[in-house]
Amino acid sequence: MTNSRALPDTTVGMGEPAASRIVLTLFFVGILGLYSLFSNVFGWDNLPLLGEIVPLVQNLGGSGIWYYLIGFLIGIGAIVATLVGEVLAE
Amino acid sequence: MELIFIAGGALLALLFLLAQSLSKGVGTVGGAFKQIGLFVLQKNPPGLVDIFDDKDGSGSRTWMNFGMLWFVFATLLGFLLGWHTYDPTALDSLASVGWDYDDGSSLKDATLNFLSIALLYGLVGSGMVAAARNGNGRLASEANASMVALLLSVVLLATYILPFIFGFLDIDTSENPIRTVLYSLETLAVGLLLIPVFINILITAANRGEQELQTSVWFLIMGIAAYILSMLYMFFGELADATQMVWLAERVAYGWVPLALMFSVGYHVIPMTAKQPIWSGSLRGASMFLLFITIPPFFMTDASASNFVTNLGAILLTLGVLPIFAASVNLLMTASSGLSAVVKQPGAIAATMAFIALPFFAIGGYFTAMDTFVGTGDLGTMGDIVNMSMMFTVGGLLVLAGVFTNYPNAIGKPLATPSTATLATWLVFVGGVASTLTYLTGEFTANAVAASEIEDVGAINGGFYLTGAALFYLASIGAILSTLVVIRTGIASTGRSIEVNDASDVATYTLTSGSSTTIRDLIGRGVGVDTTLVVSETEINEGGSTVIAVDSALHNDEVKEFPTTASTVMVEFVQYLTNTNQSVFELFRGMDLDDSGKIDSREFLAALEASDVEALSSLEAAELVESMDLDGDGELNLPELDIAIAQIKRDHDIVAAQEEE
Repeated sequence: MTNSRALPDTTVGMGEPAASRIVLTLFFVGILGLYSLFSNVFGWDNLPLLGEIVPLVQNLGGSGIWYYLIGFLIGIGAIVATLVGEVLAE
Repeated sequence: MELIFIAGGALLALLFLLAQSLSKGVGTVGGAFKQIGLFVLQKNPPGLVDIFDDKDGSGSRTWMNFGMLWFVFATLLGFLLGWHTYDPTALDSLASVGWDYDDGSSLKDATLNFLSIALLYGLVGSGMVAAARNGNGRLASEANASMVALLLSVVLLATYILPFIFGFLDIDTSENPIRTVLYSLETLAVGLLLIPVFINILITAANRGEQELQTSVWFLIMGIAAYILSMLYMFFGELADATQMVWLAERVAYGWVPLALMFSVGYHVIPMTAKQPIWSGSLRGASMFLLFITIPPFFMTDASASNFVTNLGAILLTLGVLPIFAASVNLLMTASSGLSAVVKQPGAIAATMAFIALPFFAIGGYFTAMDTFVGTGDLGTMGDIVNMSMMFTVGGLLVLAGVFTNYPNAIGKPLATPSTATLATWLVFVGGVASTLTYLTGEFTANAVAASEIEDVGAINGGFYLTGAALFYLASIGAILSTLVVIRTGIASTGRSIEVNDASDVATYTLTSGSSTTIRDLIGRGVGVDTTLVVSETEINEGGSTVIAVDSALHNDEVKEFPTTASTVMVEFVQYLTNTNQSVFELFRGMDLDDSGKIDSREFLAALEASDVEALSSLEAAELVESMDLDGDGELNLPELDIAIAQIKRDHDIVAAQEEE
């Protein structure tokens, strides 16, 4: 018996699970996080801080922690928005 | 005699009495006690309890909602704690709005406090669903459970708000004796608030009658009882300045209680999802009884006691690892026997991951706890990392396990976006484990440099903490995603997913005049959309059950013979049913633990075990169910059970034992 030379038909997956977009977003943010970690851990520290990018938050954005805290704010905002949105939809 | 022996003896005696009472079920709780308990729950405090919803599942739902919110804020604080070790000045820019977290110890205390509260809410809320499913489908008072959940959060928030209020009055709450009084009052309030929860769950469990309590409910009741006692011990210990009593109370509150509540969720979620009985009875017994007579290897503090007490404590601490290993192995083996079902459920995946991680945390906790207890105490920071990470990783995963499995059960809706729930589970697992390993590596490095005894050299391990905090951030995202899933599940307009078959075996279903039922119940009894419903005059047999007319097509050649080994068991079972004078409907209601209107092999096995007939294996029980399952859906509905029992009664001339005499 020889190997079949014809590849079997495959199904092109076009499914869109709820988690897929979250995974994509996390990967995108995650690689920025890796860049940030490299800059901080190995001392080059060439990632501009939030206060340098947005003059309005000059004092507040004086540490890299604010990038992470923005994520928390977005997350908690998403919780509140979902709660309000779903209640209104109901 | 040292105080710890008296306090410990009294604690063990109380818990032993409770465990003994629970071992044979709580059906013997007197009717008068039950009525008093219900009165306390439903009427107190007057007016306040009435504003809460008493709908089925609303109490446990409130507890789990609070649990998820506290968990999100706990992970925020956990992230800040990691970053603070790397850079204590990171949030100094908030000083203008009153932000101040001293040397990090307040931040650490707040993180542990928030996390403990989150676990208490999440695990107890999930346990309430388990207790309700093992009773009659609801808590004794759902409204009271919701009220206590709210009051508990008010008390705990007050402990953070009061210092600010006292600050305006120029009263320093960080100084004794105000600090001691406030702390004592908080512990007393928490202890007292949990008493109605304890009564609520006890009465709910009592609805199960004389049948043996499920392991998960046993752990839940014991955990809450231990927590109430520990809070009372802390209150009186602090007031009397009895350090040994406080030490004992801390071991109970931070050791026994979290582990008991974690085991409660594990013993419920894994066997239920895997549709398999618990793997080993002896391991189950070891995890139940050894937990409450040993010292768990987490959150150990110096006992400042005599040599004898210290050595005895070290032995008990060593034995304390055993119930953790026993429960973990038992549950992992149970999960492995039904792995195909486990991997499809986010809750079961979370529980399995938690019990994979727990033994490793126990080993880490054991070494650091022994070092604190009888060693030099050099591993103190490592101990903090192991303890906190265990709570975040194992505790957090089990909160998710309970919520993802039991929240849908409590409200009768399917879990929204299960793929997001699975992703959140992985994020909490990876974030918790990876950050723990990173923090510990940093500490090992610092210890190694310190041990080299080279003067003026210190390890800069801030990078480990920064990386660890960034990895822990994954767990925080997992907590936020989980909360979103819970909100969507709770609010989504999709109702309970019921599989309605157009084609039903039941052609005609007779409803008795004057009775009431729901479409859900009817569907559970095999009624389809084309079934003719006939309303008839009341026709009651000895058991008072509704008369069901089914199409003659049901009595066809598809009725299979019962498996040989199981047929005798079925005859015994039907004899038991006849002797106890139960109608088939009453039997069905009792067997249908999840109130789904159908009985699966797990529920059938549980009913057989409860009726004292010969034990069957899960495989034999599945075969037996299959033999009675006429429509081939893998589960029994009421007509199918009715037909099978009638057939056995007819073939074996079964009559009640009294009539026989």
